[in-house]
Amino acid sequence: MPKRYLKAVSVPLSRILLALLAMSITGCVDGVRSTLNPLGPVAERQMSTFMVTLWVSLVMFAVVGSFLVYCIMKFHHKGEITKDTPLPDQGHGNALTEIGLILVSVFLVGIVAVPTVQGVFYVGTVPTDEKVYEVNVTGLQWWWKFEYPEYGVVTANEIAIPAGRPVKFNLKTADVLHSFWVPRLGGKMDLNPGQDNWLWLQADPEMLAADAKELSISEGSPRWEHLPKDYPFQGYVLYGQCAEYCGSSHAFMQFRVLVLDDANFQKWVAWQKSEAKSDLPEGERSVGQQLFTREKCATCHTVRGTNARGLVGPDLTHVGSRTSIAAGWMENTVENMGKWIQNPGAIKPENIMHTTGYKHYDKWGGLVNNPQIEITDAERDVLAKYLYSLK
Amino acid sequence: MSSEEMHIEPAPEKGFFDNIFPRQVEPKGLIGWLTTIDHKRIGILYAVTALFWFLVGGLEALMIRIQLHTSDFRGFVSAETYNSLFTMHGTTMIFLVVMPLAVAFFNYVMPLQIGARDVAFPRMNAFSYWMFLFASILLNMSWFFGEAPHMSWVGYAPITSTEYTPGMAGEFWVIGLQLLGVASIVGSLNFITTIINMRAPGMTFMRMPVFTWMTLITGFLIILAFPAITICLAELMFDRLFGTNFFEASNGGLPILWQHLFWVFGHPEVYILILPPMGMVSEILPVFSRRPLYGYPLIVGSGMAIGLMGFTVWSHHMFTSGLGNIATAAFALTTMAIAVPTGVKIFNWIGTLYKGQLIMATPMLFSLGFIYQFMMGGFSGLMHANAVHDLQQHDSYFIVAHFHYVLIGGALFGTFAGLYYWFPKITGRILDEKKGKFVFWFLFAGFNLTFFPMHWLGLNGMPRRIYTYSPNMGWDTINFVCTIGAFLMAVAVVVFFYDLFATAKNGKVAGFDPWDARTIEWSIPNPPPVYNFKDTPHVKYLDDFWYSKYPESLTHDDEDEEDASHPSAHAVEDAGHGHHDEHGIHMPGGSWFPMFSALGFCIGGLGIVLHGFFIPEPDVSASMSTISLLVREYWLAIVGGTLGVAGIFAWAMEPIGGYNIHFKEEDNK
Repeated sequence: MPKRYLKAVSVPLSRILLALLAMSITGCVDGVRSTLNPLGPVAERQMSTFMVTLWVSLVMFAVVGSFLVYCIMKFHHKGEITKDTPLPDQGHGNALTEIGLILVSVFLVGIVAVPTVQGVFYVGTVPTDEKVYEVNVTGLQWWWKFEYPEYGVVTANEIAIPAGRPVKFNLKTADVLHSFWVPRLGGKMDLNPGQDNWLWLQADPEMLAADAKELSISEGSPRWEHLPKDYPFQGYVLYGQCAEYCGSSHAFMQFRVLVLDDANFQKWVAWQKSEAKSDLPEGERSVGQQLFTREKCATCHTVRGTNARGLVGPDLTHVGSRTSIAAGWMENTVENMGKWIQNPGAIKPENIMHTTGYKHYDKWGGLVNNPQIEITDAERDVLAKYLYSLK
Repeated sequence: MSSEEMHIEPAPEKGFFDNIFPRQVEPKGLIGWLTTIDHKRIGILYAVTALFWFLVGGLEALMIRIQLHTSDFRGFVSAETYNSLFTMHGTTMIFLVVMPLAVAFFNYVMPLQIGARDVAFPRMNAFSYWMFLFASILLNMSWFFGEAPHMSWVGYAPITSTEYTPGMAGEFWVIGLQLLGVASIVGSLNFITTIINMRAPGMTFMRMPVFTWMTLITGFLIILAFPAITICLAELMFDRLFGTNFFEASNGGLPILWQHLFWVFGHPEVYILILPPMGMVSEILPVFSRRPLYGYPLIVGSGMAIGLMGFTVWSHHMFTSGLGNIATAAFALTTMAIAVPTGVKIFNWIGTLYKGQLIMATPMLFSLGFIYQFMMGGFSGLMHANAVHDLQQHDSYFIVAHFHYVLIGGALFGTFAGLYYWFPKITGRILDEKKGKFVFWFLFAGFNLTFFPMHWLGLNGMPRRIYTYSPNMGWDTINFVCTIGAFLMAVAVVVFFYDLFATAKNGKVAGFDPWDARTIEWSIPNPPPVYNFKDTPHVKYLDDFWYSKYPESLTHDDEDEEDASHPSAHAVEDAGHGHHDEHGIHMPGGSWFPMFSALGFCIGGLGIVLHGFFIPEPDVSASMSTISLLVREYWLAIVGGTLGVAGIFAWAMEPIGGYNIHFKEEDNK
């Protein structure tokens, strides 16, 4: 009976397990966020120390596991046990074996410990021998504010970094805990209230060229279509996400990192510093802009170059040129922009825009959602088109 | 022992409180269960309650897996409900399932293993159970108020503040956990006192069964670890209710303080969850290998080492919180060091199998599954100790895979092994072998299918606690596989529960010593009589019962041990306490007050949760002093607390009561 189950269940199971194990070991994990397919020195260092631990574990697992299987196979008693069955060996321990095994364990742990401690200091120390770019990151429920203080650039949910340069991310939160994580570039760091956390990452151009083809964007690729011809955007898009639970829409708090070469990066900086430029005809643009102010969008959002100067929500000056909207959740299209404006709560539950800027509580402290932003479908389309045109 | 062979004589004393709530002489029926102070009945109550919550937590898990089976899926539950589901799944499985299941065995098995009549403080024991029951109900009442906690089971400040978690969800969680903590601490003090003071004559510490050892170590872990969570929960409660600023950064509070306090509790808690199943497995492997436990002193010593070292590693849960390089490196090293005693345990378990006669009964299968899966969880634990790559693993599905390998693959498989092993002891009936093997293989397959692929998901960048994920991440297939695995586990759980009920009702009668076991709890009938041992056993060896059956298997080492056996043991016997005498066996009466007090305290807890409800009209708060305002808002809490304290006073004043059991002369040998 057990044999039948054993075959029926364990054979397909072990095949799946083996396949997965093989995938993990060979690093053939080609997911867009794979930590084992690094694109920079920090992630690479993390992966290589992981591999040390993994191999030590696998060797131990193979040795101890096969001895376990051997014992089960070899000493499995078939048939009944009666009074006449002779007792097996009754020994209960051997000091030399125990000491030997403990020493082996200590030795194996030592093999893992040395690269770990070295790696901790490597990952936890910003390189000092070259210029370090600094980005101020602020986490908010549920989006990211990015600033280059050096250049006076403010953007949201999408940040560009120069390839091959160390970048220090200064992490702050405006509300609860968040965690900044770009798996292909390196591990995460929490955004802790009242604490100045930071993290340094670097994207390696050669690794990008070799391993990140599916993430590259250049003229002609689908994501290019909505961008103006002169947009400096030959590079790579990496995916990041908040990794510390931060409330209802934690899953939707994503972001993207553009990796550009030096020349493109400088163009990107200049582009971001400029005021909003819309490619809409003057009439449509001014209607959209008026609607943006009238429907109180401007209370929370900034569109530089117009009278919208709100500081609560993301800066929308160049929103139409971003690769995504809704903090990395939706691709940037006019339709998606319309869906977002009409009912942001359906995309990011409980987000502050859904409640039109006010958190309003009933007597017992329950959150009362205000009606969605009250505009007609036609007005929504005008607004969506206006925002999409802000390149 | 049938009732013809003995007669029962109520004790004469009667006191004032007996007129209010009479002590039950010979507990029968429902009142018998409500007033019971018998460790065996309390153990059964713990087990039944924990298994009920196991079903609830399991349903929550299934709903989580349905939600995650494919990307961008929004049809099943809302994001808010999903967040409540994973919060309550974690809280339920840890505090209402794995811990109390272990406590069920502490209660039922440990006193029998040390040859005791009961635990040291039987009414306190009942109080622990009722606290646990009412607090678990309080916690889950939140679902019916639509206010189930949704700040994750670790509740990292400041998401637990009234600003980000308004309403009662926070109070349900804070109060529920505090009351559960009371139950755990009271229980542990009881078990520690019992083990230290009430061992049968001759049972030195190094002759104590491993499970009893692990009970003792776990007891110490609980009384040392729970104060930390009690402190941070109290601070959070003050922040929420009275506007203090322990965790409010804008007023100088420190949210990171929560993480430190929580994990100073939380990491030992992991060992609180895993050490008891380790003890169970250490009992089961020798029985089904028909060999002594290999390296008994090392298994015990490594248990102590793990418990002690468990207090030195809490910050490895916080490598991404900005500890600084020195602290990160230090905590990485202390964490790696724990791999050594853990490895020692695994080596010795396998050493027990080597050269044995392995009998593949269900408890043995679960124990072997435990070794394999715990080993897997141990290795992924070593990978977390690698603080460099832990920055990638932290809060990803890799972590989810790891702790489920430890908590299901380890703790739950070990507990199931214990359940199959001691079920005949508890009910006198033996669980069905065929169904047992079905349950094992389905659970084993389903478990590995659900959680092994999660390692891959985590390494591919999938964060935990997310409601859904983008379609272009490539996580769909693996998540679907995980969901299938979860349903396989559900099938196993359904068959398991069916088997429990069917066997308890009319299963095969186990008879005396069905497993050819080693420890003295099997030297008495199944199920044991209310007084456990008629004559206090006299213990000469570790695995005393085995050597009484197979004296030829004694080795030279054991002989030496006998010669050195404690002189005090003989003194006890000479003094006549070892046997029942003409007074018979005195059994205490049942008591209402443990339940009464626990109910009082939990009503008080509910009063804090619901503060502000039931305020008398008209509203005259403007003209009231602070004290009056507090009384007005918290009147139910005050009433409940008063009832609880009154119950404890009444319980202290209760007469001993109870009854004496006399045996007929021929049994009195």
